[in-house]
Amino acid sequence: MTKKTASAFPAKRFFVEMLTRDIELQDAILDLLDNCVDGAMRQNKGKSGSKKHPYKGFTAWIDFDGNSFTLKDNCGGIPRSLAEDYAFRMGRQDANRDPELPTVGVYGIGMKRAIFKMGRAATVTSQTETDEGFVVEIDSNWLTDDNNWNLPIEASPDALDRPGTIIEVTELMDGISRLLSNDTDFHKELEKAISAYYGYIIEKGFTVILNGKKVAPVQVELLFDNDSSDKKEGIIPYGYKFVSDDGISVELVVGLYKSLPTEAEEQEALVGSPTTERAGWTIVCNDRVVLYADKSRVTGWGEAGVPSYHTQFISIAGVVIFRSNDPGKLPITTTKRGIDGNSELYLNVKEHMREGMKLYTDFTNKWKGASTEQNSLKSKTAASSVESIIDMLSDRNWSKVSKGMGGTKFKPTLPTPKEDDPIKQIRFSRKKSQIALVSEYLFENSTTAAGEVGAQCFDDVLRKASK
Amino acid sequence: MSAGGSIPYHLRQNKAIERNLFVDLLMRVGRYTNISDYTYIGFGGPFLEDFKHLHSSLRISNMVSLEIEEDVFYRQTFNQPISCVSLRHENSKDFIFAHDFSEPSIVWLDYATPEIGQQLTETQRLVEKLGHGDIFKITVNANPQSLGARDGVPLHEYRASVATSRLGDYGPANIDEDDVLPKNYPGLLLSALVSASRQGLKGNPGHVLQPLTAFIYGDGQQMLTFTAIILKTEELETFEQRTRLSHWKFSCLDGKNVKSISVPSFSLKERIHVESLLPEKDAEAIIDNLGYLIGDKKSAKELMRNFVEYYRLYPWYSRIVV
Repeated sequence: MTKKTASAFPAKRFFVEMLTRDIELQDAILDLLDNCVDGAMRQNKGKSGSKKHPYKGFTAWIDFDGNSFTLKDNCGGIPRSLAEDYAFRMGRQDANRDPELPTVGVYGIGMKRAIFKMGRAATVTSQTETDEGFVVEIDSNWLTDDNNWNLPIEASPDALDRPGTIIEVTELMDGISRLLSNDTDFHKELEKAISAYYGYIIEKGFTVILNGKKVAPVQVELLFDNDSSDKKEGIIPYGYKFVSDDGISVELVVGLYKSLPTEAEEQEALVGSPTTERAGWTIVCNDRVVLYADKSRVTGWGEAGVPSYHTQFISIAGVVIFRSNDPGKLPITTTKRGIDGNSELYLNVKEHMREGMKLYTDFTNKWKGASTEQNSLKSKTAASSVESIIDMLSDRNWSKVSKGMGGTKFKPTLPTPKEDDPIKQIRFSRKKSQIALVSEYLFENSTTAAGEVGAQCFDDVLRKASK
Repeated sequence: MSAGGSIPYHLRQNKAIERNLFVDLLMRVGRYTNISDYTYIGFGGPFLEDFKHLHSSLRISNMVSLEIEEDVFYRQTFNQPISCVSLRHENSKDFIFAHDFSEPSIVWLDYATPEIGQQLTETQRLVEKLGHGDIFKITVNANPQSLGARDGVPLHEYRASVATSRLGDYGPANIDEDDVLPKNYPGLLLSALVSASRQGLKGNPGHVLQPLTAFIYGDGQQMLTFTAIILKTEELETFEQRTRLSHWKFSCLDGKNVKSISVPSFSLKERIHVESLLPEKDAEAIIDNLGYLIGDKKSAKELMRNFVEYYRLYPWYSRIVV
């Protein structure tokens, strides 16, 4: 009997159509930026650059319209041997390209997936310091031919005037062309995403120029009560730190990023007004934000005693920073914009995320409605970046965590409304026209929030009663 | 709606000018599509002035007026100047939710209150319901004072933070202290309005937003008004060719540059005198000729320049005693 073989040969359609469904355009573009940053990191290897601004001098220029997308960088370029062996392969065999660098690329799929997500033709031009430049062209014919898995690399000695890469994608897909032509305001969406997801990297010196405009970083800042005399009591973020034997470090802080919401702010959030959603958890892996302002079970909301996210918690924010020279050990998904919820490391950290968050949801609940004293809480605090908070907390009283993976934590004592004279909430309803009338009388405008009008009425009578 | 009740509507000179420009714009759009067949939906106020104007100049005869104040609604039924206006005692939010916009529509949401967050959300929801050829116009309060102030926090820093939270998803990634200065705030709001409108088109493939005009004017409060049309992508070129709006100096087709159209509040004698110097003299020469400024030092020159540029289009407004 002759032995027959079953064909396990891959079809390009699989990569081009299936993999691209797993990723949104915005994430695909961020993937390309990840490659630029990984490149910058490789350039820095072995050099003693600025520790605070390690990415200074490295820039990515992104330009697009309804016809084409171009990303240009000066982050070192793709070495010729790498281009020949696997930069254009669908997936990387060897996961250990950079054993000593905290990059995020693991699977070698980002560039290809991003290109096919956007269009059906592309040109990749690259040049390094030592190799001569080259150009690789991918066209739509190649994409439909399952027997041809080779792409010609054309030498081009003067392809670029400095080491770097240019990726140009054309023959854009219909939906993508519409997004890139800015018919639906994608430009701003992307700018905001870069500000948030690359906030930490831009802060460290990297520059992103989006359609000619420099993108400014946005970072999570938390309130910190500098006056806290005994160093433990006051509005101080909860902290947790951990370094594993295999070199993964974790830093976690959670607290308030803005003062507790007023009644009016809560109302606005309830009717779906467009508030800036910075509340929730931001998770950073090797400087890349992989999850931004998350308010779901993934980050511990609504499980194990922590309430589900609700508009009254719009002031709570937390950040977890993971670092490792082996990106495979970080709890991230292949799209690099999500968390692997089953990772043991992450599950361990999540317990501390929940503990810190519970501290602050309880705090919010206790102070709900206590508006006068709430005002006195506001004035004493200042917003600080996460890094400076970790510094500021370092001389305080950290306790050792014995269970789980270990580590140390800082648990602040948050101010509580006075126990001997607890706060009670008063609730009553009056006609809208009557509230407007009293508001006009008290505040000379008829639009003050009902709660404030009621509180002012009470305070006025209280003043008289206490005389 | 609210603040509009305090200044007699027909005496707001700059608003009247803006309204004339709106009619002018619709006439130009009329070269592309039959504007008389459109349904006009707006906030008429106690006198339904706009309705009368649009009916007489463009023969629009399907009209819907929305009003939330009960007394103003009764005044409308008393004042109703033409019979083809359907008066509704309803707010715009509920109306947009319920109405299906099956007829070609011109919608003017002329907001007087400063709740910009809700107004942007409403703009997005409106655009979600509009189709090819529909025109909408949004007027919002563009006075940065509406962002408020807080003791102990530097004014512009505070206003930038309030603007960041109010504009939310519609605002740019970063709003800094310059953006909330009176001269820049209208531009910030315009970008948010354009953003809200474009986001409203997400579920409507093959359609684009074509901004038409963006003006600031003030009769007391600084207001921004933005007008745009929804078009099928393949119709853009025909629209441009027929309307020739790129040759009209009041247009704002890129949705970026706001034009100020406020003019000085002249006395009758002043206006006749100034017009007698035009078109030969420029704003500086006219101010020299008068020997004094009309309006405060900061804005008088700009107001005069606006008048010099557009005087032929400005209507005469004067008081008559009956």
